Amino acid sequence: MIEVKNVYYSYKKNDDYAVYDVSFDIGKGEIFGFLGPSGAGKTTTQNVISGLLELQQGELVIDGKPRLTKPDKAFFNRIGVGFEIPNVYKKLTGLDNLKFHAGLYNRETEDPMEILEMVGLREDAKKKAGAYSKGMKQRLGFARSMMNKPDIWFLDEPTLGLDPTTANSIKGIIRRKQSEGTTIFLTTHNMFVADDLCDQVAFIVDGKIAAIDTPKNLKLKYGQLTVTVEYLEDNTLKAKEFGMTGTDKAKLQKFIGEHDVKTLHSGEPTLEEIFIKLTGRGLE
Amino acid sequence: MNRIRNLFQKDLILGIKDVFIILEIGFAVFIVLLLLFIIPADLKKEAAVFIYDPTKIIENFVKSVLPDHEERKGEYYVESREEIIEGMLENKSAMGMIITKQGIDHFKVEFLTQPYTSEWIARDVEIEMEDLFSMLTPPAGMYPLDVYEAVRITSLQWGIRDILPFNKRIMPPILLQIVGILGLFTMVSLIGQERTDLTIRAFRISPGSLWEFLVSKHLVILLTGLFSFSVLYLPMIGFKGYLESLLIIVLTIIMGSGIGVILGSFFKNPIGAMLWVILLMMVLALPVISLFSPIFSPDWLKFIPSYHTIFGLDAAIFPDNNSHIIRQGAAILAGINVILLPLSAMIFNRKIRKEA
Repeated sequence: MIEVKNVYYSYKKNDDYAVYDVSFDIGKGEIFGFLGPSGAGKTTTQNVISGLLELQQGELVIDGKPRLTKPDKAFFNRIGVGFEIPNVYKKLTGLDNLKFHAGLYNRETEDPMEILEMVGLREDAKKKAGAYSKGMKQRLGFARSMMNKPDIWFLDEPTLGLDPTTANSIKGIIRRKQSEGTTIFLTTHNMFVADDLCDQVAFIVDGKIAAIDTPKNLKLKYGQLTVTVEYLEDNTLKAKEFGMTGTDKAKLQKFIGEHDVKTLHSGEPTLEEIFIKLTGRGLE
Repeated sequence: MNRIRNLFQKDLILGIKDVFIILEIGFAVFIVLLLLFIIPADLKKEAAVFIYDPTKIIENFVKSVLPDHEERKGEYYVESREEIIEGMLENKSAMGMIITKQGIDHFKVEFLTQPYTSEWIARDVEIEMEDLFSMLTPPAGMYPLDVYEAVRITSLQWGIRDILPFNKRIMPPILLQIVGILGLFTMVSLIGQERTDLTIRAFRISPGSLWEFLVSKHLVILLTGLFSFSVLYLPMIGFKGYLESLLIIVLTIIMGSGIGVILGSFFKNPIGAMLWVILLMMVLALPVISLFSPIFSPDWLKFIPSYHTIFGLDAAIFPDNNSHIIRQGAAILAGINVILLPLSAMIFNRKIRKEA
C-alpha cells in the first residue's frame, strides 16, 4: 500500500536533514506506528507522505503509483489527517466545522452527526468550537480527519491530552476503522498506545530509523523475559529478579528451593525499554 | 464550483463572526450619517490666486458683473509681480496671474504656477480664461484667442469644483479608504487567522487548491466592499455615476486584497503585518492631497495606483467632460490586477507550501 524508500527531507534544503534515509513498507489495513521523541522526525515523515511537504529525495510509492514532488487531488480525496495540535475553526460550531470539511471532498462523506456521536461530541455539536475544552477540540480534529472515509489515515498523537476513558474510546474507533480496511499511519511517543494498536512499529531518532518490526518481535529480539521473586528473609520481604534464559533458569529453580518464596511475577520488557536500549534515548 | 461555494460560506460566516464585515458595514453607515448630517455641505477649500492686473480688466469685471465678489475668498489683487511671488512662496497651493495689455484690444495673461501641476487642470483653466475673455472684450465677430494670449497656463482651482458641496467632494477619498483599501486589511486578517489557527493545514490535505482558498476570500471581501460602497454612495450621490464608480471601486478592492495576499504570505500572525498594512494604507492615501490641492500633482504621485481610484471616482461623481479619466483609471487598475492577482497567488502558494 505505502512504500517509502530512502526518503530524505531538509527544511533548509541543505545537508541538515530532519529525515535521513528513511525506508519502510506499510501493508493495506495495517496500523503502522512511528515512534520517537519530540523532534525525531516523526511528523516531518508523516507530512512528506501526506503531501503537506514536498518529496525532496527518495521514492514514495502508494498503491503501486510513484509520487512525484506533489500529490494529486485524487490522493487527497483518499486520505485523512489528524493533527497533534487541534486546528479547528473556533468561530464555527463543531457541526459546521465537519460540514465545511466534508464539502471539500469529491467522494461520499460521513454523516457529521454520526461522527460527532462516535467521538462523544453529539451534545456539543452546536456549540462554537472555541468554547470546547482542549480534549474536545482534539476529538473534533480527530472526527474531521475521518469525514471523507479515508483509505489512508494519518494520526499524529491521537490520544494526547485525553483522559483514559476517552483515549480508550479513540483507540476503539481506530481498531474499527482498521477492521474496515483502512491503512493507518500512527505517529506517537506513547509506547503503550503503540504497543496496544500497532501491527508494526518503527523507532526513529534524529531523523533516522533505528528499528522496525512488530512490537512482539522487537521485545523478543531485544528484550529479556524476567521473573521477580519476592521472598521472606529475617522477617523482611525482599525481591530478586532472574532472567528466563540459560543459567538464569537453573539459578531461579535453585533459589526457589532454598528460600521462603512468597510471590513470583513474570515480566516482559516494555517497548519503551526496548527503545531506550536501542537508541540510548528516552521518549519525552 | 461547489467547493468555492462551501469555502465562500465558511469565509462569510467567519468574516461576520470575526466582526470584519460588520465593522466595515457599520463604519460605512456611520460615515454616511456623518456626511449627511454633521459635515457641512458648503465647506469650501480656499484656492488662493494672486492677481496683478494693471489693466483692471478682470477686477472691474468681477466687481461689476459678479455681485458676490466680496465673498470670493482667495482672490487677492496685488500691485506687483513681486507680491505675487511672495504670496505663492507663503502659500504652496497658491498661484498667480498677471494681465497686461499688448496693443488695442489685445491682452496677455501670464500664469505663475508652482513647479508641480497637472495637465488636465491647466487645460481647465485655459478654457476658463477663454470663456472669461469672450465675455469681456472681443469686438463683434472676433474669437477670444484673437484678443488674448496665454503665456503660461498651469493650474488653478477655479470654476465648478469650488462650488461643489464639501461633503460630496470628500467622497472619493472616503470610498478609497473605507471600501477600496480596507480589502488589504481584511485579507491580511483572514489569511493570518487561518495561519495562526493552523486551519490552513487542514485545508491543504484536502482536494481543495490554494487558489480556491484565495478566490473565496476575494469574493467575500468584494461582496462586503460592494455593500459598503452602496451604503455610502447611494444616499450621498444617488445613481449618478454609480456604475462608473462601481467599476473603479471593484478594481480597487481587488487590488487591495491582492496586496493583502502578498502581505499575508509573509506574516504568519496578522498583528505582525499591521505596521505594513498601516504604512501601505498611508501611501495609498497620498493621492488624496492632489485631489484637494490640484496644484500639487507631481508625476510620481501617478505611480501610486490609488491615484487612479481617487481621480476615477472624482470624475464619475462629478462628470465634467472627463470620462476619459474614468476609462484611463479603470484600464490602469485592471492592468495592475492582471499582474497582481497571479503574482500574489504564486507568492502565497510558494510561501505556504514550505510550511508543514
